Amino acid sequence: MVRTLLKARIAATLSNIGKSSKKAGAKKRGVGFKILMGFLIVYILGALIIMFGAIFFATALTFSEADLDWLYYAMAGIFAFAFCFIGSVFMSQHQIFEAKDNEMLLAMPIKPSAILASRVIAIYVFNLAYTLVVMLPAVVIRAILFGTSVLELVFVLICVLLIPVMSMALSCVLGWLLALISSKMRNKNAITLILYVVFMGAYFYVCFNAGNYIMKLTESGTALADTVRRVLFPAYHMGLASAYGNFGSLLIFIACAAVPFAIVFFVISRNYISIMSAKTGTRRVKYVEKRLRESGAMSSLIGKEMKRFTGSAMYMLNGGMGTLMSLIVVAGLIIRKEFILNVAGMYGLSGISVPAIICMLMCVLSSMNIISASSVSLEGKTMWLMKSLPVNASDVLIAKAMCHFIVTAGGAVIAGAVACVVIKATAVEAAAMALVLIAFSAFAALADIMVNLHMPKFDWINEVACVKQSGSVTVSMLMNLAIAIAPIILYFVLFSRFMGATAFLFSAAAFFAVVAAVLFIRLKTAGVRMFNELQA
Amino acid sequence: MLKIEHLTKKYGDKAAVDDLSLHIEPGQIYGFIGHNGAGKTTTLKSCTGILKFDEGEIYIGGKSIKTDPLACKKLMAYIPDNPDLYEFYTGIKYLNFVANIYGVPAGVRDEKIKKYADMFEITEDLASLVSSYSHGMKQKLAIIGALIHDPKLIIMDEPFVGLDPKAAFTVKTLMRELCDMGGAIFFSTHVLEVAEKLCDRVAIIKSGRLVVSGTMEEVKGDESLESVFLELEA
Repeated sequence: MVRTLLKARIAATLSNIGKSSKKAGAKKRGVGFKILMGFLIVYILGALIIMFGAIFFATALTFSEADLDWLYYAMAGIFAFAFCFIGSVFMSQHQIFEAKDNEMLLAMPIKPSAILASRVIAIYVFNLAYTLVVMLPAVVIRAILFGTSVLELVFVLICVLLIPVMSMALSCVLGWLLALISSKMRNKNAITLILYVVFMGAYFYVCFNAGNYIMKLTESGTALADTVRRVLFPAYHMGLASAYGNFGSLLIFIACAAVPFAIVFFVISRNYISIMSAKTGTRRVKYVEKRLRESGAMSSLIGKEMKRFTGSAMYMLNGGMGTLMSLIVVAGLIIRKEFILNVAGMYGLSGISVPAIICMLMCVLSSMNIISASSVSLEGKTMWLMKSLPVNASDVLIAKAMCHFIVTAGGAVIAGAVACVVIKATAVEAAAMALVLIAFSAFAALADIMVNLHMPKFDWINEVACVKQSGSVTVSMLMNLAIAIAPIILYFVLFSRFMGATAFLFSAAAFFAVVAAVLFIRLKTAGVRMFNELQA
Repeated sequence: MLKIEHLTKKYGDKAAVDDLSLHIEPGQIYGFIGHNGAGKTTTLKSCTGILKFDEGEIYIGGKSIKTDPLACKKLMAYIPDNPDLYEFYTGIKYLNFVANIYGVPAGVRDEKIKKYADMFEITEDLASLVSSYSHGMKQKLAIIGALIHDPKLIIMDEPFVGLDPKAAFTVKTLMRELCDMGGAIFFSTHVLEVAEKLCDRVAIIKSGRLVVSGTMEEVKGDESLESVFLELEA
């Protein structure tokens, strides 16, 4: 039974990128698309592995010289655990406790433990991938520097298989707590948003200070070793088992991973039905009659898109990540202005005006907004409304693009304006920056809609599949990023020889505006035709 | 009010609806009956402009759904078999959104919403999110949304599914009132007793082809609609 459920779950995950649901008979993606997706996955994994490899390379020799080989593996284990945990806590909440097919499965003659097991195994596979991204470079770096043995590899392999189990015990409990808290709160979007921002804040804080940590690790390995030994004893025993082949420590580590997970699994599976059937956040609000406000069809359509966006914390956080990051970066600029300007100088950018650098950075961050990349897919089963109401398909699509544009351009212009004040940009520089950000936002909004029309996904069970994992979102994000970075490369390689940075910004704004205009015309012709052919 | 002329809709090589013609006049409640997969929903969706069709024509109030879809859609309303509505809206926001799309004046929409929400006893729930509604409540909301702009034609796919007996009675009363005022209703149902009592005319579809149509008396004669339907299906 677990195998059947697991197959269904894996099939659902693969279908997110494997086929589109443009027509009733979903057509298979071509070989080119699969190669592109494969290339992107390899690229992202490669970049992460190289990053972790660099960190481990910096620490391996120091720890070995201090006779703290176990600390090397302990730190790798801690990194892997943290990486797994951050990556899976919200996944656990959505996939275990808030999956829309929970009720259907619970009504079938299936043991709750089998349903839970199928979901947990699927999350385990993801977590194992996260773990490998960290542990693989750790093992390879150590093998290159000091050689390795079969025993060491076997013990490390056992630890690698157990790290996701340990992480899942915690993420299942937190996922359950998040589901419970959000079900009791009147405004569950707010609490999810706050928790997510806290997580992201912590994550970026760690990333931002990674250099300092590595320096401290290499400087004060002994003090760190004491702390790990006393406070993080599972990591300590993992280190001992992996580095020295200590069998007793391996058993302790296995117990540390397996026992908490077994308890959590047992408790949740025993209470799965009551957890699932607990009243969720559906507190009724009594309607008080008041005069309704009349507005035009177009503003209603835009309002609907904005409400869909702001009505889901998950959609806001994933679709509007660029805006969130822009505001965080500007806050960082205010707080650490000198540091950031020095970094810009260190990288040899001091010859270029700082507003140009900040403008380019804002464009790159704005490229992370992918609101319109899933907005057609999100119509899903409600597509009948847009098709049966007296509205033009072009208005529907423009409203979706407008939602993306308002959020992205609004956030970017506000962040850009604050940045201009902080760095004392001239009026011309500020104007150039605003035009680039507005034109780029318009381009991205329209381009992402077109991508979604080419790659719609309507057979989603949970909108997470649509907003985070669908092919249109991945393609849009990478396309936006590539197009945001292209002007920067072009400027350094070519235009800087005969054009000032501000003049280049005006040229870039004009370029983005022209492309946006072309896309707008395309949306009103080919886009409308494609939308009319969609069958949700 | 609704003219379906030689409608053909194919999925791949298979014709879901094959050369179907029906005329529905103002004042008529027209029932559409057939087994699962016979082509009822495909026909209804083609009439509303949700589905493109391969051959034939559909006219609503004399206008073609192919060439003038907006004008056709302004005249009608559609209620699907499964009321999937915008769950991020509250009931009242959803209705206001629909009223905005149809351009219903502010005072009129207030009055209509109050009237129908009271009839269906969901006034107090209008401030709650649609996601918190039961299937029946969503169905009621979809029906109110369909009535808000005084449509001349309502196309309904299994309208009574999920409704409590009182709400089902209210819907039947409203259907008759709308037709008495010159409107028309084209609806599919599997509840043959309801069709027998409610419909002025009825059509039976089998494997995409129209098997029989006419007034209720013409179709069933002295038999029950159920026995006629079962004979035709045999």
